[in-house]
Amino acid sequence: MNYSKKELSIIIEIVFIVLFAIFFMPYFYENTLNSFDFNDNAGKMIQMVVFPAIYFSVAYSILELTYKNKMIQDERDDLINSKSYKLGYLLYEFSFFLFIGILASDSSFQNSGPITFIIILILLIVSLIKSLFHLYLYRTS
Amino acid sequence: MKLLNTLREVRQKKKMTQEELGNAVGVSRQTIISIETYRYKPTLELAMKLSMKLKCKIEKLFYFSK
Repeated sequence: MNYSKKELSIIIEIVFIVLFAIFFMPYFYENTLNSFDFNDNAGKMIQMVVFPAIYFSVAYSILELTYKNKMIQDERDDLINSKSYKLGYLLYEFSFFLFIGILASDSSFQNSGPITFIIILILLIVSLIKSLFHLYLYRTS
Repeated sequence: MKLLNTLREVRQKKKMTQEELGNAVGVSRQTIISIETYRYKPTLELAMKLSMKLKCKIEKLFYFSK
């Protein structure tokens, strides 16, 4: 099966997500009962910054060497991007609501009031910006 | 009504590859493949560019099924 350069760059992202989940999520899973302190986890945090940098530079270098032709960004890409970003936005919004639900229902999260307030505030600001941009696009398109 | 096209036939008549046609109108080969296989409907701008490049009237290149 032939894959285009664009499709391969998306596969690189998918592989990164899987590798990240395999290498780093067990660490966070093991420490779910502990409070997260940056100083105690500095080594892991550095790994989490260095790993993507190395992975993406190597993967994209191989991709550039394999596919020498330049990627053309056209109207089909714009349509595909807007569809996937729309789904991504909805999932992010849903996950925020889910997180608020977990905070409100789980008694182990003490002092969840400020966090809930910040999340709702962020959601409101994001929704407002989205609606304003939506309106702007309708007025100018 | 379904939007159909004769892009593949006209392109082959002009002896152009999908890559050549794509480069000529500023889109990728994958976009040309998607249009030819009815998976993507081009914008009017792209349809007109294709029509001009292939020297074929736009209504002959793109038409609705009856």
